[in-house]
Amino acid sequence: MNELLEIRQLNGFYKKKQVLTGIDLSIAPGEIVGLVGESGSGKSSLAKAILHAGIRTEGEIRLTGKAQMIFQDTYHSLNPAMTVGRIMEEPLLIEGRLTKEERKQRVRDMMGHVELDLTLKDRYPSELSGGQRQRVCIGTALLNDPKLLIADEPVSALDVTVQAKVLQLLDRLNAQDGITLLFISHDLRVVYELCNRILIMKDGRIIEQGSDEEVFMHPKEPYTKKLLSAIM
Amino acid sequence: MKYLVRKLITMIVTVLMVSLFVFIAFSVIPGDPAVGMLGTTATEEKVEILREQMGLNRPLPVRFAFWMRDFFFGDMGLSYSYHIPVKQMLADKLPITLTLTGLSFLLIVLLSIPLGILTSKYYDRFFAKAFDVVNQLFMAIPPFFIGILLTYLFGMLLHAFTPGNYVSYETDPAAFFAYMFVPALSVALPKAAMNMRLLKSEILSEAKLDYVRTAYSRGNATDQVLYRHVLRNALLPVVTFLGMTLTDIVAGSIVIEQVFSIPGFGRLLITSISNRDYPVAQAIIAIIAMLVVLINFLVDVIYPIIDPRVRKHAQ
Repeated sequence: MNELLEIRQLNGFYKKKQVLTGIDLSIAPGEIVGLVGESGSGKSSLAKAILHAGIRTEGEIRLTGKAQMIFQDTYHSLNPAMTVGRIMEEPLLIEGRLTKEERKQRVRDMMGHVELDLTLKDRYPSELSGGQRQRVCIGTALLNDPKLLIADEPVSALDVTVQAKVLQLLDRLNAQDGITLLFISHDLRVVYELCNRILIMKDGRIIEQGSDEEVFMHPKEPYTKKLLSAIM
Repeated sequence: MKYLVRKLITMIVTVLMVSLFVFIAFSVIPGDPAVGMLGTTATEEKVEILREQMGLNRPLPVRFAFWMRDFFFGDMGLSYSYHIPVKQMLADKLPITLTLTGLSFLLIVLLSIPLGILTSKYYDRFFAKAFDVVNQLFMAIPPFFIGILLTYLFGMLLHAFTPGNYVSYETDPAAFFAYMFVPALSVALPKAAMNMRLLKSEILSEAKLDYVRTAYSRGNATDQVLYRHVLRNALLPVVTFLGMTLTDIVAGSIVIEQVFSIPGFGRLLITSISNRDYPVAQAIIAIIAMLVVLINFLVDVIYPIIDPRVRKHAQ
């Protein structure tokens, strides 16, 4: 078996409320998988379950390597009292392997990698644009050396032009670095543009999955057809 | 730097305004200070000579200008009652009041910050919930009443000090601090309870924000999230509250000094008002007001250090 992520018969609960039911999912290294569904369908809960964060689970989750997550609200996702340099240095600081100078060099390299101007290093999140903040989030996540990057609505709060640039960046990171992406969105257009495989979620279940062509051109489930008709 | 200069100018203007209000307030109080000093049996001629000597016949703005100039050079006039310089009367009272204030403030910080962190960290445990009840109790009881209860506990039962028997620092430093501890604790407990509650609710609400979720996802342990991320942001309103508390306890020392027979500013102020010794009362009120303005200035200086958003805005 050479899957990066294997999920078998996963159920998820917030206290007693069941939010995920019988999830089966495999993601191979280097894939970009889109997870689509309306609000409350269980997309973010599935992401939390993969990260073992804030949700009680039953079933099997097998992940090879680390997973990191980036979020929709870039403004509140970053500590307002820390500079960009300090925020990006943190994963390396926790890891504790590098010297201060090595950490700073890695942060500088990563800023270049995610197309962030080095002069932003001493700025605070409130002084950056939404797109710049999302690049900080992506760069910080990558400094943890994840194999899987879970992006929870990463471009929903951005302008269309900025959206395109962030999507290009994610695409490049996948192509160049082989980062596997689980891309959560309610925006089918964005998912179609970026992903090679699409999962449709409804009421805590994956109701349909297939390649982008299969799901968009030949949807099987009425719910998928309804979602598609909304953008056609 | 610009920010500091702006705050400094604001402080100077506020001090001038406060001084003007204090001066006007004491100038419009009915009664002639010259008569007050000489007594009602003095002849009109003597009163007139004294009024001239005291500069009371000059116009109000001129008197204010002279009073301000003298005040800032340390000349606060003569006490009507004791005929000695006010400065001399205040010189040994100010350290007592400042000690009481400083000790109270120290106790507030030492009690509220660690307990605030602890009760927020273990907010769902029994002891944290029990602290909430104790907090409510301390917030509801005024300091002077807590003072009476503590006097009974520390003075009558534990014999840590003799109630009413104030010991000066010069006589016995240890006994002085032992005596000051109980009034300082009486002032500190309600404020510490409020600050602890504020810090707890700030930590708990900060902990729900997205950057905390991000911090966890980057691999931070709970304590690292608390001390590296949450605490610094949660402390911002606490610093504001502590600043207000400090000004409050400077002004509030009047009552507590009276309850514990501490010969500080508060007691002297009450005595001087009841004796119509206005130069003394005027000087004390002006000094307390200036201390309050100075504390607010210091809070303004500290704020940008702990909140980069204010620092950047200031620049």
